[in-house]
Amino acid sequence: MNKAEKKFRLYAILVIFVLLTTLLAVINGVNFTMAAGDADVLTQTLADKQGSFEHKENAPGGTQPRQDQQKNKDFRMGPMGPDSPEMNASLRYFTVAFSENGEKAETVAFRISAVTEEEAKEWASGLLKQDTGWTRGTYRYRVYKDHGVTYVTVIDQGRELLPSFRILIISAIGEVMVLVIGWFVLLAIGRRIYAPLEEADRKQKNFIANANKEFRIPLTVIDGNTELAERIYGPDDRTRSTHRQVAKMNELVDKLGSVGIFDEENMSAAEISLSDQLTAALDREAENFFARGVALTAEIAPDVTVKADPEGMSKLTDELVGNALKFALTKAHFRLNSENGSVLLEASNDTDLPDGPADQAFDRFTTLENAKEGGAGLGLSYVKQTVKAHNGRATAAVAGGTFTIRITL
Amino acid sequence: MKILFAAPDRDLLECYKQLLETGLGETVTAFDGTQVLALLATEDFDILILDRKIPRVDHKVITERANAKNVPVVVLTDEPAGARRREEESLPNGRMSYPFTFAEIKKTILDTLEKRGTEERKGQVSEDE
Repeated sequence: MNKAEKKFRLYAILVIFVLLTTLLAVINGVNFTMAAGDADVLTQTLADKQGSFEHKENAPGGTQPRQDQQKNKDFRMGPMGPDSPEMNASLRYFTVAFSENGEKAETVAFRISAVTEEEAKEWASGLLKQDTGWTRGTYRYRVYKDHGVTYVTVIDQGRELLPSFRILIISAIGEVMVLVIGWFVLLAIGRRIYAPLEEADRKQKNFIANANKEFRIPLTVIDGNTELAERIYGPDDRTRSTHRQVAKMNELVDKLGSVGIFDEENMSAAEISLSDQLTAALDREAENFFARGVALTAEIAPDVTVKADPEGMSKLTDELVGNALKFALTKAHFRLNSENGSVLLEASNDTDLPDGPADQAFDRFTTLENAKEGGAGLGLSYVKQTVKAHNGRATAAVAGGTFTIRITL
Repeated sequence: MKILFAAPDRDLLECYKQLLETGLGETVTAFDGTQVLALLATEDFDILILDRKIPRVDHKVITERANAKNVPVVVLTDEPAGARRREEESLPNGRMSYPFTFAEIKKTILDTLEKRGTEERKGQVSEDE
């Protein structure tokens, strides 16, 4: 399977996951916040009634409802609210009143089966620190004062919260189902999207390979006939020029050929010394750097090895060195070291390109603006292809007048 | 030295017949596989230079036949130099990618002959022992 297709599918499913999770988190968050709000309305109503829907003559705060008890009448729960005729019978709650010093506790109302009155007093005594909140999962409580008496009202919201929990569970199951279905849909879509792209890439490679092959014999014949002409009439500027042009064409043909030859299925793997390979590649071109007036420097850590395709890595180092030789203005620098199990290879040279990322240098048949000498735009494409095949990363950027290719393997 | 050069391109054959004759020795050319087999059967050659895409007869058949007559083969291919052809790598013959210069093919021919000569000498030594 194509790596780009895999990446597309992973990113797409990640986006769906993030969006869906956010949406469901907001819905469930609002739902639970509203449930808490509804519970607060009930505890406030009970607070207004001194902790009980049934007024007791001997209630610690007296029998008269507080003046602000009507303030929640026009509240959002409508016919299901605390003023509904059924609320008194259906709400499970208890209220415990504490004397000013907190030593004496008295049950004002007790309409709950989950705990005994004594347990309720002990439970309530542990809730005095905060005004309101959830306790024991689904119980909402409120702490309030009236005439010097501290009341703690605890209501059971288990049944009321049940639909909210159901929505939460259904949301979670729904999300998993959407992700699973989405994965298969993306699988089908990915294939539809990437099949034509893969086909176009394959056709491009085939075209390059075929065109490349068609050039090979004519170039051999041109060079051979030039050699024959030299033997008969002696070499002159024209025959030498023909040889040079043929040599350039031969180089281009070799590069075109390399577009198609490096495929992951055929690559071999061996422990190779990248330090030695890079040193050898630099040694081979040192004279040419000198001839071009380019100062060549290198920091190559000894014994940097990688498990890789020897042919591919050899060509990779050659291409990097060749690229620097072609485009460096006055200096080129190579750095190779190994950190935390990764190999870092950097090739940099001074440039007149503007600062910014320059990853387009890796695109096939692409040369950057400063490519005054031309070039097929294939060398760095091969580098990228090789690095990707070894699960590595290659980036290119210009910063402060320096073009740097950074390879991590 | 007598060379058999077989390739499907007449210009290439004509050019390299002259180059090889002035640089290495007598050169006979063949345009297709049947001609190559006929020449191999009737004449003695020191080396066969064979285009991998020679028509009519598969190059592997020709190579086997030539090797059987103790004629080493340099296979010419339009695959890039780095392309792997494992079946060819295992053969005790030479391999050359187009495009090449005369100097390059001359070197490959001489290297292949030297390799074959060394192998023969090794074979003779082991027989003597």
